[in-house]
Amino acid sequence: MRNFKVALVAILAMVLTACASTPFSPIKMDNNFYQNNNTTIGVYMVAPEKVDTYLIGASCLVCYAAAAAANNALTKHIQTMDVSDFTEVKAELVKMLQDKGQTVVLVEQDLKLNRLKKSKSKTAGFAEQDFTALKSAAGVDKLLVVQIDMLGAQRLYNGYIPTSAPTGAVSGKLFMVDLSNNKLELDQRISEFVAVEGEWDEPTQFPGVTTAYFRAVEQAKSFIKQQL
Amino acid sequence: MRFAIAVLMLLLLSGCAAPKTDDYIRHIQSTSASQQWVSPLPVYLAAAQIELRGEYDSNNATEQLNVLYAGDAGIVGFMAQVAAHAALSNNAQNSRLSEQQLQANKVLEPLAEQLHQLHTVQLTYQTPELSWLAQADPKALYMVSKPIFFLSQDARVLSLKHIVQLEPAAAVVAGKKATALYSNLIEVVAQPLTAERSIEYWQADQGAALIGTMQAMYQQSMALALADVKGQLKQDTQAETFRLAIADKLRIERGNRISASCKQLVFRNLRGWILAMPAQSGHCEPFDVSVNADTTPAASHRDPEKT
Repeated sequence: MRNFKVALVAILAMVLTACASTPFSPIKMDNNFYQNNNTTIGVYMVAPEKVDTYLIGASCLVCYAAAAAANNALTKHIQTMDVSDFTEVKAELVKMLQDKGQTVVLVEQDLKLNRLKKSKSKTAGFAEQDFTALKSAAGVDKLLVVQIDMLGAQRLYNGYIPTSAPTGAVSGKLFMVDLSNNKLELDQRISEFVAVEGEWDEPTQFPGVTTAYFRAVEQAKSFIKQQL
Repeated sequence: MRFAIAVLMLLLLSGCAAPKTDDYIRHIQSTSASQQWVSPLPVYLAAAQIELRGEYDSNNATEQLNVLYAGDAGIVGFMAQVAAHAALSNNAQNSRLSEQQLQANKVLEPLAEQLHQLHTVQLTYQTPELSWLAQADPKALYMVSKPIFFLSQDARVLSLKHIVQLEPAAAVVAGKKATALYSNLIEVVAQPLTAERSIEYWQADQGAALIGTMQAMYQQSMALALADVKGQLKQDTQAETFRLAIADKLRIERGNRISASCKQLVFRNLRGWILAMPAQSGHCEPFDVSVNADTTPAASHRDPEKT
């Protein structure tokens, strides 16, 4: 009986441990980073193909269908926005780094980051995926990655029920990895959510939500530039 | 059937409306507004006392209330829960907004003496285009004017949100809502004061600088509104994002440029509202006359930083 209890506790502990996730620890660029200008930095961006609405929490299929239908007019409008309002920042990043004496190239080819293998090393301060394979493909020593997961308007749901008004949203990751050893030189989360000032339900042009979106875009661009 | 009703109801409720604030109006611009123009246009001031409020960030008060729904309540119970959620959420937001406004109004406490002396009649000015009405009087068309002034928490920035509505006279007299021929919000932000002497500046000479700045801002807002009604403001510019550093705060706006000078940027935001903001020196462009000479403000802004 005692063995059974011990086994039960051990199983419970293992199950609960699996639920825990490692808290994210941001990494800032070293103050001496720009003193070494013998390396080539590649600037690479992954962003959604279109600006969109994100209905978070409408998790069941029918919930999502109802939420999507309810936000159809907003989605139609937000999809008319051009992603370049945000993605133009990559050219600014190239210029910023060049102004700091670095050799910089804009990496335009698709590096297929989601297909990278997991890194064997789990050491803190190193990328979870193995980026070293990209050294020859990208032709650079270090890779600055702006990875955008959400670009547009976010609305929170609890099943069928909207629990928030839409907010302007830009979120994702910003990191720089040394392709020779997979070390992270920079690792930050981009998380800009801007509430609509006043009324939001203004079809068909949704000026309040659109303004909130552009505010989120500008704030995200500022945040990224501040990290370099 | 029940499922269909539930989905339909949810679609209707999906507006999940933001709390109503009185510094908001939908822009309406009827082509007949300029055709029905009479000069001088009667202006009806919506309040006798000038309204000055402390400025605060209303975004912090618009978060929604999260509620857990009982799953075994049946369709009627479920509908009741959703309705209760909507009512609670709206009520909570409105009460948060009121609380924040009361808190923000504390910046006005040192100006209590000056505030008692502020009446909207002091904002009126001589112009052949307007006539000021002490009381409603049937005419072809009225401009209803509702100015609300705001003072920032550091007392450095005075701003005006001016709601104007061009309505048929009978509706104004009867106090009824009518379809406005023109309605808009004109926002004017004064040049920020230097930090050290802001409250003293507004208090001095029985609030002379306060009322003087308010008058200049009101005049400009009215001139912009009149030019807009007549269709005289520039409209052919591309939308752009403006990053405006006002005192210590960054304000990001999206809209179409109307005019820019070294001191001020005037643009129309995506809601159609007209905003006149202090511009940063060093980012100046040559002055662009986009408003006809006879509709530019009669008085120029004071420049508090030079006083």
